[in-house]
Amino acid sequence: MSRKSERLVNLTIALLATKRWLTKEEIFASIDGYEGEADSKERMFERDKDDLRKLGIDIEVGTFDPLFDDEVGYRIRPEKYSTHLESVSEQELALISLASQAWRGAVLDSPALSALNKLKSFGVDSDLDSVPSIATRVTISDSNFETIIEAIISKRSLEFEYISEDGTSLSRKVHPYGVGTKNGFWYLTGLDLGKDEIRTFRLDRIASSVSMSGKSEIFQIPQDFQMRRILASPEPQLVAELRVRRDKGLSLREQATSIVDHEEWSLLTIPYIHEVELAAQILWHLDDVEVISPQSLRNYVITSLQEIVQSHG
Amino acid sequence: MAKRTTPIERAARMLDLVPFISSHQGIPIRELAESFNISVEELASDLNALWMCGDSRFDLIDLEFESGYVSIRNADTLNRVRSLNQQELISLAIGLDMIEKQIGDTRVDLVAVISNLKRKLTPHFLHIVDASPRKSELIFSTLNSALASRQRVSIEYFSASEDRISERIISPLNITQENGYEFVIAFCQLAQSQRTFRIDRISKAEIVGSDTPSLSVEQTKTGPSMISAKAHSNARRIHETFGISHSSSQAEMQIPIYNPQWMIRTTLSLAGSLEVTSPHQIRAAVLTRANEALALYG
Repeated sequence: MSRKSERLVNLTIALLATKRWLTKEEIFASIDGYEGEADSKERMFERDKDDLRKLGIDIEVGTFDPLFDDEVGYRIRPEKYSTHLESVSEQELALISLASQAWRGAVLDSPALSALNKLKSFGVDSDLDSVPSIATRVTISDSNFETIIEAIISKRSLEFEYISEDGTSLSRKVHPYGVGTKNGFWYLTGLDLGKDEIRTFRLDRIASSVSMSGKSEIFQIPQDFQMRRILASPEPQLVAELRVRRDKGLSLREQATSIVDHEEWSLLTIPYIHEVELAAQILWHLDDVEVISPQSLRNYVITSLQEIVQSHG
Repeated sequence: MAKRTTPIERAARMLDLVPFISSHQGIPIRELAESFNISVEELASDLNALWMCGDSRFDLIDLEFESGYVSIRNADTLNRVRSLNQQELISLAIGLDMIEKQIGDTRVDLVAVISNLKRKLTPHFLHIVDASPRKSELIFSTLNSALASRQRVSIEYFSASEDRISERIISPLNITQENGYEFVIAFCQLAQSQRTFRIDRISKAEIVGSDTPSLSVEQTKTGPSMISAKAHSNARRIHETFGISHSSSQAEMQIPIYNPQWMIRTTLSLAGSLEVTSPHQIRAAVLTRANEALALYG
């Protein structure tokens, strides 16, 4: 049995219940578990304070007499210990349950569960019938995720190795602003200190474990920063015309805004964002697809094919 | 529960048990353990420890749980809902955002409730998280429930290497994840054997009833064949395409493949950055296909 847990609970009770500052001597005398030399009691107490702070419980330090700071005392203010939420509705609790369940088996499953349990303690019944029975999943098992979250919360720098396009990895130092997920991939966005630009990193391309460095509260997240905007797909600005064999190129047909069928071929109009991405799809379809326009896309495909012929010849 | 609970986590749980029990007086001990995702033994040890806590000069916390039902008295000091810490808040912010996007247009009323809830609960995280579910989330949950209830599913599957959509009846055997993609391994009635389907390529999935033949996940009978290839550029893209670890970036890569057609198309779509060196048949096929495509351009 861990006496540490009991000591932390008793310390919390004592500091919460007191109406005035408690001195260390009073704490050591009334709470079981502070034993040994004065020095070691002192160290235990300091560690306990830190541990409670990690749980989000703030111990205030004050003096009895504002004019003489000879003796300091400690207390926990109940209004800071307790949540400011008044309560949640039955429907809200059902939604929170879904949000919490989404984490099952993923990295933040225990905070998600304790959050739910705290909110259930308002004594409200959750109205599961009022929400659709969807089972959303947050799929992230990346061990770096918790460090990234902690760095964003405490505004500390992050350092990691990141794989660049040519497959080599480079050290990055980042002020992390936000995280997000889209289509199964997770992203971190922040100020890349080496490049002095806001950059987005895919978590599965981080080749090392992520470490925090330096002090906390070292930066501010820009007022206008919005992770949603970072991950939003840009509107396609470009349009390609492709000639596609009848009954072929199904994935391209799905993206087409217009399809005009001729005898053996169809003419497809496809809006796109990145030339390289669309070219990869076109090349996948071998001789079932020909680029009509734009010229740059047509040239890119031709050059790629020539390179393939050359290297495999 | 695989992770061992630290004394700090246990202390947090003990603190949170107090308001939880107070608002659920007489809760069955098993239900309480389930709510906190711990065993009944762990819970009993938490409760025993909590029983001894309190201000010894006055009264200790009074817990009753011998009967199998838990109630609590004399715990006024701790009977408060603790503020949510940052990790708890961010987990809810991400979960709620995902649910909001999944519900989308189907329940505009709920989306409004979620937006309000997020503003009330996690105002500081509104701008720094953004979570949307995979597009295949609904298909996934259909397959998952079919797997759990051993039912057959009718699917529409797009095979990219054959450039064809087929309708199949499958009996899901397992769901796996690799390289950021999710797969369902299933017995396929059409092929009369076990097949692996990429879930994001399934465009429709509908449960068609039980009567699943009893099957177990067997190893794929034919192993992969090995391809040797060289990356001329775009190494990251190539590594991710084949699921090869980035560290193994030697000049020559060994790539396990199951389907030669897939390999040929993939090589072309990599736009000249990959060179297949062996086996000869695949290298020759890549050359032929590239020449055929090039012929379109005169």
